[in-house]
Amino acid sequence: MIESLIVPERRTGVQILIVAAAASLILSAFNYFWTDNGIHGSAGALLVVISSLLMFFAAAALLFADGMSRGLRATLVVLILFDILGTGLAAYMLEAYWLIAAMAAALAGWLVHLVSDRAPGSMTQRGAT
Amino acid sequence: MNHPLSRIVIASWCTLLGSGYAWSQTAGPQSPPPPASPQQIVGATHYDGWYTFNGNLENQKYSQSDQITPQNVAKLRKVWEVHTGDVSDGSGKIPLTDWSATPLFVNDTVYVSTPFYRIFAIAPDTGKVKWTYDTHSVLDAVTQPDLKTRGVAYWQAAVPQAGTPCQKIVYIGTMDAKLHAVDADTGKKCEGFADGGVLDVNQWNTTNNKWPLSVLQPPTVYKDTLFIGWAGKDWAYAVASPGTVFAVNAQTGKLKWVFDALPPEVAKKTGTSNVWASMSIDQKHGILYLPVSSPSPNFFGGNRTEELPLATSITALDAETGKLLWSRQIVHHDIWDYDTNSPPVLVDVRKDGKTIPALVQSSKMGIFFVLNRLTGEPIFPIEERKVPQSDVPGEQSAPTQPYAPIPEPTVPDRFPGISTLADIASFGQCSRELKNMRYDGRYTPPSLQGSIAYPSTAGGVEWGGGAVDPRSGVYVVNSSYVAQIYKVLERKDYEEQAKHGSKDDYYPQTGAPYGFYLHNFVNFLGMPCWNPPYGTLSAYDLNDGKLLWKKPFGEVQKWGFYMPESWGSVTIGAPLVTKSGLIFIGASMDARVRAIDLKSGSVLWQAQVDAPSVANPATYIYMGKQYVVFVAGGNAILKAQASDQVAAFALR
Repeated sequence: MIESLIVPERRTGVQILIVAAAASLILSAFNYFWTDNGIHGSAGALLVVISSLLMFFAAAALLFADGMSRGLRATLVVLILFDILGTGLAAYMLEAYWLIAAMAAALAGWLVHLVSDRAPGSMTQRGAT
Repeated sequence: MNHPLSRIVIASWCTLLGSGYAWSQTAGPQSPPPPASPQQIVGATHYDGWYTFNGNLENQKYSQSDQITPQNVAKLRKVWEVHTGDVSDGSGKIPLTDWSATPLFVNDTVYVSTPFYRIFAIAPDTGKVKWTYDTHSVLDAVTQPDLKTRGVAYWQAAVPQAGTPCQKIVYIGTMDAKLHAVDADTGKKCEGFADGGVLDVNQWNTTNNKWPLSVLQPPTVYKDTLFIGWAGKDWAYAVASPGTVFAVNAQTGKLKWVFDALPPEVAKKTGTSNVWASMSIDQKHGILYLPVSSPSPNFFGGNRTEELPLATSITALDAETGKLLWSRQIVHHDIWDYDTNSPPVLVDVRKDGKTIPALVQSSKMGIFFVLNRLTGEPIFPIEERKVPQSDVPGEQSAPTQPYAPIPEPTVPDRFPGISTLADIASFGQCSRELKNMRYDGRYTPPSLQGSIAYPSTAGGVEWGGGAVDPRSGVYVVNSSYVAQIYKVLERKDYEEQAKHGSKDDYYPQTGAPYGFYLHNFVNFLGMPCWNPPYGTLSAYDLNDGKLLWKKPFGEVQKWGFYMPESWGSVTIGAPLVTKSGLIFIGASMDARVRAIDLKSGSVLWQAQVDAPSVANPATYIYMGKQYVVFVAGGNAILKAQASDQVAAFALR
């Protein structure tokens, strides 16, 4: 009963994060390959493709890897923040405004995750308690 | 030259030359005078087409077209584009392409040359290619580092005869100085021009012939004469081809006269002082204005210590005869490669209640010389300022240089200081290097220890020059701010260092006691070591010389990242001005083309093109609709991005 109440709340932030990362990946890939935007084929555009991909995988790990240790989870959360801020700065300097919007969404997801979400480990403990 | 008596000496020279003993000569028997060209096309000051490299012969880059306005320019859309296929990134056998061709609009057609030396004739409303012409020129960068072209020229007969070919001719020059004449309607070679339609300009390269001449700048066409300048191989030799300008008949290619900026007696010591940029013409008075470049070698003058008053000058000739009318040197004893690199803009100014026929000469130094175009006398004062002296053995630098405080130079007199960001990022490399170099302000000479040149040969104002609204006298010009390291190297040091260094940094100046090292003052990451801005766009009122506004222009782009707008961008290519109060310009590193409000300097519209549009844009009205055309070809000086795109914009 407790677990069923917690689960939706636990995953909202990271779900936003993963959607934003996916959007960022699509947008950055589009920017990299579309030839009319002034940044296509550039190292900067490639960099945000990679950083978006990493963000997506990191968010997916948070979402699906329930057995992850707290330490690793905390590390991932911090790295994702760096990724969001770095990708956002890169997007600003690439003048890729949709990408900035995606990073704003990712940051919102990250904050929601930080404030509201609960780690699976702790949930299990709560459920067991 | 810089002695107080220098003006008198120059004046004496000019008088002597003007009296018929000029280095200008008349070639052989003259052909019968050809019929006058129609004033509505060649030689006309018309503002609804784009008939010459600079829009008109006065080099005003002004259009009377007023359909596109500051109010509706935001609705500008790309309506057609052409990809010529003539592009190379330099990775294969074909050298990199730098494409700076002004598209001409004349004869109801857009004509543009490509860096593979082909002509495209394009329908002005649809972009459909009407015909192409291939010079079959060898694609080898024999004089320049890259394949280049700055466009085509156009001539037409006074009364074109229907059914007779070559009553309208388009001309294209090549890297190996072949000038092709092509029928403007059909794209077929004009067999009556020179040798089967091709004039070998290099046939006249008979003095100090070290490399072939390159006709990269289209000839200037006035009445029935083509005025042909050329480019050479810079910084390679102490003694090189003297910078002869050739005047030939537009229909036959027959030589009419030649003009040399250097006296023949110095040919054993030096050379060049050529005219590699375009020229302008005062049609009312029949005066041809030449931007004359620096003599060789470019960074050491110990072999040419005598007065060379026409070197690095603005020089006025009688267009019909080639006789020297007047000349004004803008750099004495040039050892910075401060070529006069653009033709003067001709415009009448109002001063003290009088209308004065004026010209404004921009420069790599960012200084503007505003002169009476009939006499060469300054309208705003020109001072002779003391400048730092060379400490290179054998050099005799000029004690003073001309300086015009009005209009305010675009480039400041002092180096803008070390960029903290670049310095930190390079762990202090920038400030360490500056400490080890010589810098004493403008005209710091090249030195053995290494000098900071600011501005440098990269500008100030580049070959595009400025544009003017002739009604108001508002003059608009883009300018770059580039610091470079100039270092002369004793021959043995040069040989040793050049062996291990980049070929882009070392120049032999063979025949001089010194080789030369030239490098942008950047850190190991490629970041400029000096403070921004790196490029601006400025507007001046030429009637009183006042600066109206000056703003950073364009954006630096590295690895796709745009740097702050306040930095501006180094630029290549000029603006154009329209009657409706708009400036159109590409030029910047970010491969964007822009429309700017002439009154305020604010960007009103911008669009992305495939590469930096390092060409002068053109505008015209066809079938009641105004078009603005940009050639987006790129230039390695800005960044490694080349394209083959011609893009036309119009209101939707």
